[in-house]
Formats: sequence, C-alpha cells, structure tokens
Amino acid sequence: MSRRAARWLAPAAVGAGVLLSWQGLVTAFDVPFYLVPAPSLVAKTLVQDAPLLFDALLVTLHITALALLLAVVLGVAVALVFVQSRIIEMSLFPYAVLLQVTPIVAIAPLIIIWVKNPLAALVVCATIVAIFPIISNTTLGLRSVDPGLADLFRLYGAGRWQTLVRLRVPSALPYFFAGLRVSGGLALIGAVVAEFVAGTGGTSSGLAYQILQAGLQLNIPRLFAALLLITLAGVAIFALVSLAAHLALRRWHESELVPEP
Amino acid sequence: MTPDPSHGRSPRGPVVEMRGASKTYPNGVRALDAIDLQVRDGDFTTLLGPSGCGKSTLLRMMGGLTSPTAGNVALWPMRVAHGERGQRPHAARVIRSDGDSPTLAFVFQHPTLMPWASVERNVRLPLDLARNQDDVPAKLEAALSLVALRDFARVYPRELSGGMQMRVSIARALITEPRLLLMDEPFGALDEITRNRLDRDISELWARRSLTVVFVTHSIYEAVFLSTRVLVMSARPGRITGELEITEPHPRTDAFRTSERFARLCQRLSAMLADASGDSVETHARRG
Repeated sequence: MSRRAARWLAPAAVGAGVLLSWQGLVTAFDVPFYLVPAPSLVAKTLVQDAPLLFDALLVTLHITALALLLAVVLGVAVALVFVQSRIIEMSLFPYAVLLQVTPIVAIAPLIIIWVKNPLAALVVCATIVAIFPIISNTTLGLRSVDPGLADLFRLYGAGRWQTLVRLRVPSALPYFFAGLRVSGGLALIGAVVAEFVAGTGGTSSGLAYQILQAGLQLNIPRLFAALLLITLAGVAIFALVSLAAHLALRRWHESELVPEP
Repeated sequence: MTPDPSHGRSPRGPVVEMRGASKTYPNGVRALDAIDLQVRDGDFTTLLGPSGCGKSTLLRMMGGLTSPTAGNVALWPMRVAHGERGQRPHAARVIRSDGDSPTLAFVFQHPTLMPWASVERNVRLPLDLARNQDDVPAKLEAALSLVALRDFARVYPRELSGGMQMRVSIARALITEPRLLLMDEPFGALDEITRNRLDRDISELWARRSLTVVFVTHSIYEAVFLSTRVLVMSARPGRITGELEITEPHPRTDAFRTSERFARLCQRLSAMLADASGDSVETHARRG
C-alpha cells in the first residue's frame, strides 16, 4: 500500500471501526436512544431534521465567518500598530492578553446587553475569542525579519512603506497563517459559546441553540446530529485555512515543502 | 619589470578614506582601533585576518551599515558616517543610482535572498527600491548573464544550490552598476570547487569593469588569487598590521593558483598573519 493511500485509509479505518463497535454495543446492550443513540439513528435524524439543522448551521457559519474576518482585519491592524514602536507594544500588549484570558462566557452576557443587534453581539463575542492568535503571531512575524535582508533594504535606501510591504509583510505570512489556523477553530468555538449564552435569552437559532433545545427536550439523536455538524464545520474551516496557507506559501516556505519519498 | 599597482587604469582619488575610525561596543569590547585606511579607485583590496579581527565591521562601516564610535569614514568626497553620536549613517544617498552619482553595492556572507521572490525579483530589488524603472528588462538580462543564470529567472531561491544562490546575490549587487563593491566573505560557506570558480568569475568581472572591490576573507589563497592589495589585520583590538601588493596581471587563471609565485605570496601572507597574531599573544602574556 502506498504512503499516500495509507494517509487516508488508516484514519478512515479507525473511524469505521469506532462507528461499527458503537453501533454493535448499543444494539447488543439495548441502550435506550435517549442516553446514547446508535450512529444509524443519528444519521437518520440528520436527514430527517436536515432543513432545521442546516438552517441553524448556516446561522452559526455566518457568525463564524464574520468573526474570523473581523479578527483578521482588526488583528493584523493591531499587529501593524504594535510593530511601529516598542513603546506602543509594551503599553498595549497586556490588554490584548487580558482579552485573551477573560473567559468569553463571563463577558458574553454583558456584550449581549450592550450590543442591540443580536447577530452583531454574537459576532463581537466570537471575534474576541478568535483575535489573539492573529495579533500575537502577526506581531511576531512582522518582527522576524532576516537581519541580512533588513541591512540590504537599508543599504538601498528603502523607505518605511517599502520595507513594510516588500519585507515585513512577506516575512510575517507564515506566522500569520499559523495564527489563522488556530483562530479559525476559535471563531467557531466563540460563535457556539456566544450562542449558548444568548440562546437562553431566546434570540438566536444557530446550532448551539438547537443543541440546547434538543437537550431540554431529551432529543438526544438530534443533539448528536447537531454536534456532528459543528465538528464537521470545524474540520472544514481548518481545511480551508490550510489550503489558503498552502496556496500562499507552497513556492517558498519550509512548512509547505513536500518531503522527498 | 616594474610593478604597476593600477593595472593600466588611470589612478584617481581614493574611493574610501578612513581616519582614526574606531568601534567600541557598549560592553567595552574594542572591535576596531583607530583605523587609517585608503582604498584606491580601481583596486581590488582584500581585508585578511582571523575571525574576530573586526574585518566585517570595517566593511560594514564603509557601507554605512554601522557607524564608527570615533574617527570618520568617507566615500568619494561624501562623508557617509561619522563618529558623532546619534548620527545615522546615510549610505543610501550614495547608493541610489540617480544621475551620475557613484553607487556602491554590498554582498553579504550569506546569499540573503528573499525566499518568497523569484530570482528575477530578487535581482531587480535595488532598482525597484530606488523606483528606477528605466530599462529594467535589459539591466536584468545583463546582470543575470554576468553570473550565467539567465535560464533561472523564474526559479525560487530554495530550488538553487548554495553557489547559484550566491551568484544571484552577486547579480543583485551588479545590477546598479556599482563603482564600489563591498564583499563580506561571500564564498565562505561554499565548497572549495565552487569557491574557486566564483573567485575566477569575480576576478574576471573586476578586470572587465571599472570596479573597485573591497573583499573580506580569512582565506590566504583567496586573498592572493583575487587582490591587487592585501591588508592584514590582527584581532583584539582590530588593527591593520601589514600590507602586501600583488602585481600578478588580471584576469588570473588556475595556472596562477598552481604557480610558484602563488605559493611564495601565500607564504609571505601566512608569515605576516602569524606575526600579527603572535604579537597580540605576546602583549596578552606580558599584560597577564
């Protein structure tokens, strides 16, 4: 078996094994579906409740996408401000950390009260969760310029703007994408958590709200189906971001090198 | 035969002039001690010395990449860097090739290429930074031809060998048609075969153009093969302790490398280096 095939087949085999034993154990021990539903039941529910669940998925993805976009725009802007001077970075960085360490569950109710528009409130929450890796990685990247190249740019009289665009930004790209990979997942988590908090106020219809409702109604198969969709969405986001990184870096960066067979 | 240090070129004024240039680091280490030095127009001058003798620092001073803590450094009539504190070297003015002003270029120890840019975009960088868009394709072609890399314009640096990367670096330095080329141990990281070939290329280039080169190396053979004039340096503090003119005509070939003259010159330089380092060991011992 070739290595390439093994890369896909091996994890697929593990997944199939787990699903099969899950199905087998649930059937063998006659576990009631409101405790642990069999995979087949989850699949059936997914198809049955598809209109409801996919609408909810769209809502959650909408929030996630907006939050990730906002985190990238704001995070890169903040990083660009940070690298202008050490003083600015020293004065502001602790507050960026503060944003990172404050649990979103604790501040989400406040944000939901303050921000009138429910969608905007959820986006703000998810952005707060997702922004830190972008800020810290991009700042690090913008500073990680090869000193030899920095000398070269100085030697040829490059201006501040030329140095930023031609040297600092390309140097920062691999770091930025590493941050983006983490932030993509965090934006989804942020969106789900915020929905949970807001959902209790009955203002949302995202996937987290469906999970909450299904839990209250002991509709465990639907809960599992919703959970499955969130997980798949997370994997899809990761794959998309990785693809973007691959397209941007494949020609030159070590992280995207294909190992010799 | 009378030695002709200008090698048939008309002798003009000094290109680099250093007077009492010293460099003391904040931690008290004296990297360079009152260097007086003139680089004549058209010369191939080599700074030869053990590691840590400050030869790279000296070269960086000429390029305006670092300032002397005392004394001054001038390129052509223009002063690029002086010892007064807080004064930033402004080599940039000398380097930008606007109008008739002479230009300088620097080749670093490592190829120092932008990994995200193709060979072509790396080589044209000095023109792009100077927003000099006249005749870029022709200049690019000429620079790449000089280092025999015309077929590699669209290739990325990591797809090239170490020697080819260094040639890209040299093409980038030559694209502005500099009058002064500063080279900081450019071939130190390469194998001997590649290094010898690049030495030969540089020697040819220098002979063909009205180029002044200051070359830093710790290799006696490289110094003898390339230079018209070798300055021997000693370490702690960095000083120029000796000077040797090499009158062998350019371009030099592999025949020179194996000649008896070559061996004799190497022996002389070797003795000068030993004297220089022997002295410093002695003074150390006396002090201790």
